[in-house]
Amino acid sequence: MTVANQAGIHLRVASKIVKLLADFDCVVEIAFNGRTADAKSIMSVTQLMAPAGSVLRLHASGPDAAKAIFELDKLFRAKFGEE
Amino acid sequence: MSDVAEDEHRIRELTGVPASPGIALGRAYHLERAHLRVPHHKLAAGEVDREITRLVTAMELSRHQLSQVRAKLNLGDHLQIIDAHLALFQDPELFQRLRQRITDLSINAEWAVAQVLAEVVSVFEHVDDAYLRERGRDFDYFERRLLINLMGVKQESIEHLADPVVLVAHDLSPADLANVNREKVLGILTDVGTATSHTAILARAMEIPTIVGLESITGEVKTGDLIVLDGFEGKVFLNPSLELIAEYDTRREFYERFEQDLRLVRDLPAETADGVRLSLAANIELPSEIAAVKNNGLTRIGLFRTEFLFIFSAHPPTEDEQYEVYRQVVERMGPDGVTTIRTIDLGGDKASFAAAEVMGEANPAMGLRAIRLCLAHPDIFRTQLRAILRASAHGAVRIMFPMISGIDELRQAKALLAEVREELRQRGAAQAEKVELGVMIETPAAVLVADMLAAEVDYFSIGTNDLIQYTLAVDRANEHINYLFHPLHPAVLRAIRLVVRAAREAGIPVAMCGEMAGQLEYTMALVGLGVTELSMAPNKALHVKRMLGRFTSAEARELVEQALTLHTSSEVNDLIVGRMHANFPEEFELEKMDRDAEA
Repeated sequence: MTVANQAGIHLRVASKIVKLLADFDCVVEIAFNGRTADAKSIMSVTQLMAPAGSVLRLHASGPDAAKAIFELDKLFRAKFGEE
Repeated sequence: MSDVAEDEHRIRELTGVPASPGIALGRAYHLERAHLRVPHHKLAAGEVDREITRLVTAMELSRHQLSQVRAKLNLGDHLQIIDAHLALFQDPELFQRLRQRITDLSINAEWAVAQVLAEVVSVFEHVDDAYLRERGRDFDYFERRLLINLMGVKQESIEHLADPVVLVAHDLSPADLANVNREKVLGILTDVGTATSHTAILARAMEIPTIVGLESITGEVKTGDLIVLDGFEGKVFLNPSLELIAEYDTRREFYERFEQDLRLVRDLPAETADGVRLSLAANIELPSEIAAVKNNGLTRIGLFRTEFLFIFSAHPPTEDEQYEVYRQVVERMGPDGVTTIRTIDLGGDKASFAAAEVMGEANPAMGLRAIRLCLAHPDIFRTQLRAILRASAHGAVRIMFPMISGIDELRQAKALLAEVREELRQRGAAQAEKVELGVMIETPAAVLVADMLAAEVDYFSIGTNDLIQYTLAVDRANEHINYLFHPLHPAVLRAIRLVVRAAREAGIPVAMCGEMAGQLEYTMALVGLGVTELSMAPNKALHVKRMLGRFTSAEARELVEQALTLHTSSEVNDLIVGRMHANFPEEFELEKMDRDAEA
């Protein structure tokens, strides 16, 4: 998935990702630039330091995996509600 | 003047980063933020559990404090900042790392916090992206709050202040800011920080003039010093002269009066001085802009561009994905809202699904685009129409087709719409009984058959950018000929008049959603021409509303009558733009101030 907002993944964006996944029964990993983050940890996601335009690889496993990826795709595409 | 007197009146000027616009004059209040001396000690055997309990308690307490701050704030979307900090206090991985550190090294919780956070922040120091490099600082507030709660430090509160002050501090956390009484704070000055820091964002939301990144302001200013703060320019004046104070006081009054007027205007109806109502609406591109729509007192969206859904993805979005987005917008506009959704208005070059067909189109502006592209890809068009119709079950929705150039196109599109309605009915999916349908008037052909179009739609919306481009055959992006792009060309005025007349005879409203609709120079002319709805970028609406109240509808009609007798663009321009600037200079000045403030 592509980071389409201007600012890249910062704390508030990471917070939206974490919030979205909070109630999903699955493990989601996000990989970028040799780093891997637990998508349910705001610290971990922020530390990916993914700037605008970067392409992230997501991997989900567990009962809600498909739903999680679908919802994340929407969030990324809506540029996290930012410019 | 003696040397001594001169010295006393030496004004000191410091420059920092303007973080929130506005002007403040007043006495400084130096808010001491004690440097936290983090205690380091090794734990004795058996103390580890107790230390972890202390950590858990401090995390809980921090979370509780932030939740209370959150409840106090009324900042809409800016609550995200507090939410992000709350999420840190609930982060399982971060907690795990802190706990592990205490256990592994047998050290006290404060020490572990300082160590782990130093590591977290250091990761950011090597990233290339300048914006992301600063993001390590976002963890500072987390660290400080946690340490304060672990150490039981009492923070100096500013709630007791009797008179309003200019707060001077090394740094302020978003939570500090959220706790201040807005009435007591004239402005804020800090040593550190950037325009993108959370504190700056909150200061803007709370409309407190603020300058950050002044480096040494805490070393230069004592409590009680007189200060002039210019949040537009990022300038602070210490030891200001009377003249300087008077000058800035005038500027402050000017700005505040206008701001106040603008706010008052927010809840007033949009009408001319003689009470002729117009409807004002917003042009938006993303659902996140709805906050701005509401902040500017608007209840209608006159143009919701849907292209963003199609530009970023390799595949067109599904019906459900689109429905989610449309529904969200419609629901957020509320029961009194109206949302005009424009179907895909893309040049083929921007739509991945059509890329192959438009390769090498010699003349894309006249090529396969907008409604033509949709009719060439009925599956994609039907999917969008289904999603829009389903959203209409959640609130008032209008559909708008772009770039219609003839009745055939309109009828084809309407036939598809009717089919899709029937499909949904058979599927048992909810949709509104009545969904108003309109077309954009953007081509000379549409202008010339406006009377025929009017018989088959519920409203018109004039898209001025394209209408001017096609009427004058001028591409505004072409630097060799863009001097010919004249919104007030007699041909454009006549075109608008034709459209309005056709609409009036058919009894349907005429909106305008092009750039002209939001430009103060043209407000009076558009009213005079008979446009009934103006749709614009949300931040223009209050200015246009103010302008509307400055003239009567009769004056507007006279202006247009006179303009229609003139033969050249420059004469029309001199008459209309010249008169607007001469009669209402304050409106333009205010708008410029507002624009500067936003920049």
